[in-house]
Amino acid sequence: MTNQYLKQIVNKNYQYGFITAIESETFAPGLSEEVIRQISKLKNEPEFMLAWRLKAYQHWLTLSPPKWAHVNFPEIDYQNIIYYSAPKVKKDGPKSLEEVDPKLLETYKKLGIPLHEQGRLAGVAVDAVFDSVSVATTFKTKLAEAGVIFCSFSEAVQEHPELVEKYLGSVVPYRDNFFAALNSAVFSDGSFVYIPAGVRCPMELSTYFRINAANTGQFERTLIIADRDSHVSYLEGCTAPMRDENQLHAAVVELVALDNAEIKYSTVQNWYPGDEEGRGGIYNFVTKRGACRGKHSKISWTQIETGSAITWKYPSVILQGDHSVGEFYSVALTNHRQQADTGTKMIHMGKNTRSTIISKGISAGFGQNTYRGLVRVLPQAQGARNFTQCESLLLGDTCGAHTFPYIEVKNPTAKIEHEAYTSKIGVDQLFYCRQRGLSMEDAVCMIVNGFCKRVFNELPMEFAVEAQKLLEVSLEGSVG
Amino acid sequence: MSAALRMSTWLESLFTDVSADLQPSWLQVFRAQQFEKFLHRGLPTRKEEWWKYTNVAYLEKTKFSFPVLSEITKIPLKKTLDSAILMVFKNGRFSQELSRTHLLPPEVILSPLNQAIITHENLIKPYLLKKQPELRNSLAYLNSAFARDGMFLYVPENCIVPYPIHLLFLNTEQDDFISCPRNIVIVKENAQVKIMEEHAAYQANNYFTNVMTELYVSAYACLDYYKLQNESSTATHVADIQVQQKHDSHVNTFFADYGSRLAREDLTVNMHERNAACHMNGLYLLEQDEQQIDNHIYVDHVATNCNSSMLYKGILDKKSQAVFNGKVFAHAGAKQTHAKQSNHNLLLSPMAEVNTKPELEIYADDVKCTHGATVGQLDENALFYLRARGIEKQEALQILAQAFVEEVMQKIADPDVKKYIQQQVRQHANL
Amino acid sequence: MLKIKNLHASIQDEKQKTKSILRGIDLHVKPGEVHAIMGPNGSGKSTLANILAGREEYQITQGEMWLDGQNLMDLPPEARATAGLFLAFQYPVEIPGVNNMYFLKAAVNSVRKQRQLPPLDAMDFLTLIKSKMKEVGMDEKFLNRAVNEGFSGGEKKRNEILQMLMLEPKLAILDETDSGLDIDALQSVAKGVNSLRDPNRSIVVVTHYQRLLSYIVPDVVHVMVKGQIIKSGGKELALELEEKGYGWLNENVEQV
Repeated sequence: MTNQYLKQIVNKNYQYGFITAIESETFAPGLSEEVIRQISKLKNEPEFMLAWRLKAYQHWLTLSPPKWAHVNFPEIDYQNIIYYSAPKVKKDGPKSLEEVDPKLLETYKKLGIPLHEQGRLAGVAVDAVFDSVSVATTFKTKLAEAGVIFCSFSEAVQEHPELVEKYLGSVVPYRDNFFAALNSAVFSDGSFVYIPAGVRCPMELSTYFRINAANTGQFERTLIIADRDSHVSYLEGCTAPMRDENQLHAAVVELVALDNAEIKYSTVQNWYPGDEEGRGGIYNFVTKRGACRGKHSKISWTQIETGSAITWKYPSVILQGDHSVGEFYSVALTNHRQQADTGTKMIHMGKNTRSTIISKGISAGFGQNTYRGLVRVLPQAQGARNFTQCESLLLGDTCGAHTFPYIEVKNPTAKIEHEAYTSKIGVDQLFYCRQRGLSMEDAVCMIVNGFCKRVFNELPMEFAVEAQKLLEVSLEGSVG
Repeated sequence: MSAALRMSTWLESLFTDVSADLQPSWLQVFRAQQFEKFLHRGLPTRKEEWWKYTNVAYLEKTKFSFPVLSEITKIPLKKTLDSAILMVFKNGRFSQELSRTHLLPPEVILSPLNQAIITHENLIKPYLLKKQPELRNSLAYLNSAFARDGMFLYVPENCIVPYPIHLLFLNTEQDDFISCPRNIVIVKENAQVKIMEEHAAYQANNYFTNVMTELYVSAYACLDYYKLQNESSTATHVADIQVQQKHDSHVNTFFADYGSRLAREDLTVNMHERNAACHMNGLYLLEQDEQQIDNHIYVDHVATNCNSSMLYKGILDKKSQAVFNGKVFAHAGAKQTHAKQSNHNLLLSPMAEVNTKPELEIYADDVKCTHGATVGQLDENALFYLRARGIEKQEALQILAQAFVEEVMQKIADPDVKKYIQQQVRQHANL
Repeated sequence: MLKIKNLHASIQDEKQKTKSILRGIDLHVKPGEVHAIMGPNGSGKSTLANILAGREEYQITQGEMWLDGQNLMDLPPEARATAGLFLAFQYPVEIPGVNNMYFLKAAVNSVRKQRQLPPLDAMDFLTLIKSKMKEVGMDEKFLNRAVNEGFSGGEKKRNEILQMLMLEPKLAILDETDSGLDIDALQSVAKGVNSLRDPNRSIVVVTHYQRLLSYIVPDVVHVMVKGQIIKSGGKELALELEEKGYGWLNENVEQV
């Protein structure tokens, strides 16, 4: 039987599971007002930042963790997490790439993200975040010439406090949800991007997140502002070592697009997913949201989610500006014991706003994959349009694929279309490929890749091939 | 304090009434248990995902009483289904003089529930006392506690009932009452029957119908179930319909909703044996401010090779609101499940609101499940085309709205029932 | 080249009832020969083609199948393909998102690997496929479409023949390749097939009508009815069938 052949496909291991031996400055586990003051002090933050963090913390104390997602995990002890860990630096911090600890450079090289400004990623500027801090940002000079600000969040707080104060929390307020409140209180670093009016960012921007230290939570915050008539494409990647304990990653991403601006945000998420039995892996609880503030602005999310033990994220777009456009393209793969509850929210407020949602879920092994989406059309959103397509592929009979779309329409001129289907991989397609001499494994990969094609097409070229390979690796040993 | 507790004083006194009915002792115990359960759960609240968009909290404002017996001697409706076997309930109580059952095959048992509970006690008891998981709709417990009448239908093996059975619940000449009819339908192996359950009103206001209908369909049996909700525009209608299907059985349902200020239809279909099929269709027409319809459907695919489909269509005018929540659940082992869901809404007014949520929860791999939903206005181009050919705007709108509902009307297999529903649909929404 | 001995096969229908489809097939196709299998609808001729290719829904209850001395019985479909068996499908399936050229390149290199040949590089492959496309009258634009997606019936069949020319099988089985083809497409399909005729290669043509056989002239014609080959003969048998239909053979079946 087909399934038995599928079962024989061997498993490849997570190839980013190594640990970098590096001396770190690490807090004791636990969260308190004192810890937050310490983080803020360490980062030499202005008063408004500390005040904001403390408000967030006070609010967080009143909240309890959300239970509505279609995921199962033991309760997290938030006092047992380390909230700050950073590689030790001898001086004030590296002034240039030459001063970055060679061990870190080596780590990123091993991850396939060389931090020197030539080679494979010659057209991409990278901000490398290692545990709680940014360790290097490439191509800063070249970007500065174009007026683009691309730096670590810590640096932005020092150099551009007015921009940070104006936009921080303006899309995802600290009150938004449990994990957003926690992040607002303790976030340690992340990336900051500002594209000035009329500028088309000359290269791809990218942040590479790496969790290294044990028992450490990663709480980064990304803020991207595209001023009017500007354009930027941004990509994030993530990996972590293999450990038997679960680790928490609770990030917040805020995007702001003003008149006629466009932000394209892509994610290749490959946090350690845990082993076959479901031991270890990252809890990826992320709040990502973009605001199309200006008219004719556009925000596009593309995500390839293959990692993490549990994924809980809904990159969303608030379509405030008239004629603004929101897009969400997603591939989520769950294998072994992975669980993903992911999707998007498209909130139509402005006139003639449009949104597109293309979601592809692949479930294998004992994986549980949930699409959860909201399309809301408010009364003033004349002429809103949405098209949603959710497709799920089941590989094997021990996994699950679930679709929970919420459609709320309060304007009669809206046109909302939603379609979804769930099925197993086509027996006829498999047979056809195998009759032409392809192995079962190749046939499955080819069909699954074809299934995801529409989403891969949205990725920047440098990463599309990467994503395809990642999917194949993640799929192996999956099917039964 | 929960709403149920605030309501509990007058509820307790109503329950004392029910307890005084002539009834077997097991029933008395059962009712008490169900009443306890309702008091414990209380009225559904919007905090429950299953009631996210529908608020019934206002029910606690009225001190409902049980209706007094109606004196009405003629059915105050323009029409009933001519060719049918007719069973009429006035304010929840069976009316012999308004009913006609002479066309019924002699081997079929058709009886008001309060009589059947005495005459067919052993037949009914296991169905009422069956073990079941916690119900999503707490008002169903209130129905079990308060149900004093309704229909009991038993169609024996191989029997084909040649005419539809028209079940008419008339709510007349009274305000502020609560009626909790309970219908139990048992269709044995290879039998066939069509039932049309209609709820209508005549000079009655602010009353509350809380009905529950259980449909047990045995192997190779066929059941068509039509439900017409045409209550008074000030009434509240909450219905819980439970379908249990055995292997190779076939069920068609059709829900037509035009009445009530708030109507909630909870349809649960259990396909626990192979080769069963269930096709669920619905139409809702809302034409008043603050009018709301909420259709919740849960299809439980447990066995292999079962087939389900849903097609619900609605037209909304004024400040009305529609909720649709279809959920297909395919358990591991429900191989070769085919499930289809679609919900289409037409909005005629800038104040109308639709919340639709077609869900899939799938744990079996050999399945084909699809769902689709649309919300929108009438096609402007089509409208313009008709008007350019000289058709008045209002008429053009009607033609297009009619075309919109036609797809789902086609699903009604019985020609007489179809005609009957068509007439009602025409009275509403000016179609 | 192909030897089938007393092959019996059945399938389970939706109601889990077993239905026997092949009831003792014997067939021997020598290298260089073209055999036609004809028969009415439901006779089992398409089933035979699919079973030879390794379709898993059927249970083989008895018999043997050999390709060029290799036992096919326990081989998965891809091993049969790389061993040189090619099936041109009656209904080629659409595979959304999978590029036609990419697919065919993967298939060709998989077969080449089995034959211990180095993989074709992109340039060589492109040159080769373009010349073959010309042969079957296919527009180059189809290279960049998804496999069979949105192809017309004729385009799908041409695509099958293109794949066959690229894979150069030892045994090609054409399953109702003529169905739904206009005369132009039929001629280019036949031209493609004839170009493959070779003393070391065998071809089995499964068809309902004689039409295709005027272009691909068979050495032997078999008539299959109700899961059995009830009559074999030369190419003139096909004409006889065309004239008389299959009705007269049914009586024959009863006698068998």
